[in-house]
Amino acid sequence: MAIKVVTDSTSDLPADVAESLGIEVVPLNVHFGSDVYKDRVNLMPDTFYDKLINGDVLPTTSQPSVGEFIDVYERLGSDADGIVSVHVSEKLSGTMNSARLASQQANADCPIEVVDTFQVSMGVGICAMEAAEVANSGGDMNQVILAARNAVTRSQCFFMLETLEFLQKGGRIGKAQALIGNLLKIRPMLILQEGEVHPLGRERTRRKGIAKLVDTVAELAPISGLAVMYSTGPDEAQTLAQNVSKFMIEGREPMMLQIGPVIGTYAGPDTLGIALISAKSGG
Amino acid sequence: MTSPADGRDLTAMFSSALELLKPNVNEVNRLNVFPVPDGDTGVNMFLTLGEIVAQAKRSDSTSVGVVARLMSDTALKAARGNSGVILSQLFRGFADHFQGMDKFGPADLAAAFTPAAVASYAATGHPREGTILTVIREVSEQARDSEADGFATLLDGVCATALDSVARSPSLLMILREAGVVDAGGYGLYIILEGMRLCASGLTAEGREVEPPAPLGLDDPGNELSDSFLESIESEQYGYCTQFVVEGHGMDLAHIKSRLGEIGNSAVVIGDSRVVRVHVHASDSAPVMRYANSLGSVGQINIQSMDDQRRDYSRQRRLEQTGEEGGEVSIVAVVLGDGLESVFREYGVSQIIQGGNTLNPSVGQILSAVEDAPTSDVLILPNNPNITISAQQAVSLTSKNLGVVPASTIPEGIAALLEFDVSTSLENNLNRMQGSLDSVSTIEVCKAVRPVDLNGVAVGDDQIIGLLNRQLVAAADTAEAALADALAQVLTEDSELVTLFWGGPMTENEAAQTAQNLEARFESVEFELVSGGQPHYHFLASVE
Repeated sequence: MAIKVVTDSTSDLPADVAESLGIEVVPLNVHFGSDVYKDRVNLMPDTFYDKLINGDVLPTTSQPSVGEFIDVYERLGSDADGIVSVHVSEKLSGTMNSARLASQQANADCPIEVVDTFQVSMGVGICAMEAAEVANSGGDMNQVILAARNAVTRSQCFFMLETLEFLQKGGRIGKAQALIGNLLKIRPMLILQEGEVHPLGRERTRRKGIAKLVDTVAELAPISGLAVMYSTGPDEAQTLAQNVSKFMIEGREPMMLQIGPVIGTYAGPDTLGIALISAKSGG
Repeated sequence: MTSPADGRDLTAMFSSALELLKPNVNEVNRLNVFPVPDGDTGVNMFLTLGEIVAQAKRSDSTSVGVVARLMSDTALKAARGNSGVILSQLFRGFADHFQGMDKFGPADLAAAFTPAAVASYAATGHPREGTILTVIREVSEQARDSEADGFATLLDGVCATALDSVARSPSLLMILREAGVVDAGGYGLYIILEGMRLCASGLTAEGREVEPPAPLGLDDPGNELSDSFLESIESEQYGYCTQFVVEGHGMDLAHIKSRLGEIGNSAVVIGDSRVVRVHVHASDSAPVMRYANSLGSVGQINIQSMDDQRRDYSRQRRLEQTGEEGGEVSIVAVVLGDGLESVFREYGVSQIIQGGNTLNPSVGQILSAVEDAPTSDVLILPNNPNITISAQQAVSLTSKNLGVVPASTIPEGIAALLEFDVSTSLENNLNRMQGSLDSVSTIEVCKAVRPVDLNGVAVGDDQIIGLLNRQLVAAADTAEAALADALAQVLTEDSELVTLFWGGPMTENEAAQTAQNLEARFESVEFELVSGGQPHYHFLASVE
């Protein structure tokens, strides 16, 4: 018996990573008009971006139901000493709410702790990974909970978007409202702070935007875990990963992954981002 | 204190903590800004702990398990306020760990912090970092890894960690950064741990004062609540004002209004079954926009933070009432052309002085714009080398804090302006903005005043010339040819974007045709055409 770690699909955790660490991923829903898809279950990123770019309906998203979380908690709970459920910022999604209600209602035979990471995408995933590593090395419930909460304070997540259009139409723009302008083409730079989207800057070209991402990584070095995230441009992400690997502590390499349909709904095509966890304990 | 210790020793530790908290209550109160800035954190912690210690002293048991449980049971009933409730969870964790034990050693105390930390997080529906929770968690991690073999050495390490954690609290919680202080609840917990440490070291806590640590990473480490923060919390939070138009089919206004009333308040819905305009206030715009998207095609979205508006309003009001300026930075720019003016205003310029290469404003004009700016910290973008000199003269003539960003062209001015961050200081902005000046090259295209032969470029009568970074590099019979010639000299394989501000000597169609032709010729580069409205220059081009 051990502690199980659960997250949701906004984490953009690659399937092989989730599988090797034993992390259970609960999918959110993506709606195109009346068609409803399960994130990364029957809607894969490439199909999604094709529909996003070429379709005439803008997608929306919805959180997993309480029942879906209850099913997962009860299934895992029959064979676990505890469940730590690590999720996307409550300020941006109702997922935390579903998970919290489910943790109260499930007949899971073990304690369930729901943790708000105040992050999105791999910012969530990186916290789930830290928790799972402690769980897999035999950590007890308290140790896994504290590992997740420790990861929350060391994680950072920031992005270069091609446009604010998707974030704005999705109603998630928050403090990045300050970046809106119509007269010049701007690549908005965004950072998650305390669970909300904040402006990190505005750049006129992608090259300058990418340089800003690298500078931001440099300010947060040394780094023990880092993921380069892209929505539609793997080549650019590959170059970025090479440019930031030097800021990681020895022996660590950046991960590279595609931003999935749920986060893609708000970030849009041509998004590049970084999620990282600093090596310094607590600060 | 020697090991093993018993229940009476635990009581003595917390009694010492209470002793130390007493003279420091007001200092804890003074720092209280989160979650509600009501200045009662110190009092709440003191009263909660006071009741716990009083009950424990009445116990005649020496068993640490019994005493810790009594403390926990008392804490549950006596807890006052947010910080008191979280503090009570510390006792709950201790009680769980000491359950069934008569005596305890340093390793037991170290381990007891772990369930205490977990229970503390569980107390709040929405745990926030940078608070007492972070302090208790980091303490638990430090204690777990500690190899101390005595209570005094264990608590030495615990207190050092707690102090460091409190100092870093503003880096995790924005409201603390805005207010310029460390977290009050975390500081209160540090005092309690320090009281325990003094007891374990055989020192008296009575009458000692414990200064809060200086907040790390803030401009002003003074732990003084900032005026602008106090101003901003005068009224409570109202969330976002969200407005939009939906086009759809068969929409039911009454139903939409009732649904929006559930999501937010002050919902106003007008229109018909095909087009509906909505205005609604909600603490979060996301559910409103989700609902909007379910109705049909959404446009004209305008989401504004009412809290930001209120802050702006109160800042403005204070300025009008007292003549006292706010702490932020405003920007003056020297610009000629209505399109360019709009660009500069859109990205944060509050005062425009009309002027440029052909119309240099006087030092007096510059001074008057600086005086009119709404803040005492002012930056100026002269966008011309001669005007930069005048602006520098103005620095010594104004009582305001004036910084000159030496932009020598309009594109440099725009590049600098995009770096402007309203939330940071004049000095930081000056550095950032100066640093961006060489990130763009500038091409200016205009009619030659007279024939000349310069830099190896022969300019004939009535020709159009191209200047690259203010040096003559091209002469041709058309603006397009002069621009293309200059572009060919500056573009490299790293170039990505050319922004063309077209001006008075051209029509929009001519400018669009030029942009189209250049796009075909320099196909690796993106072209953006913007109306500049400048009178004498066919084009001002920014190359980056």
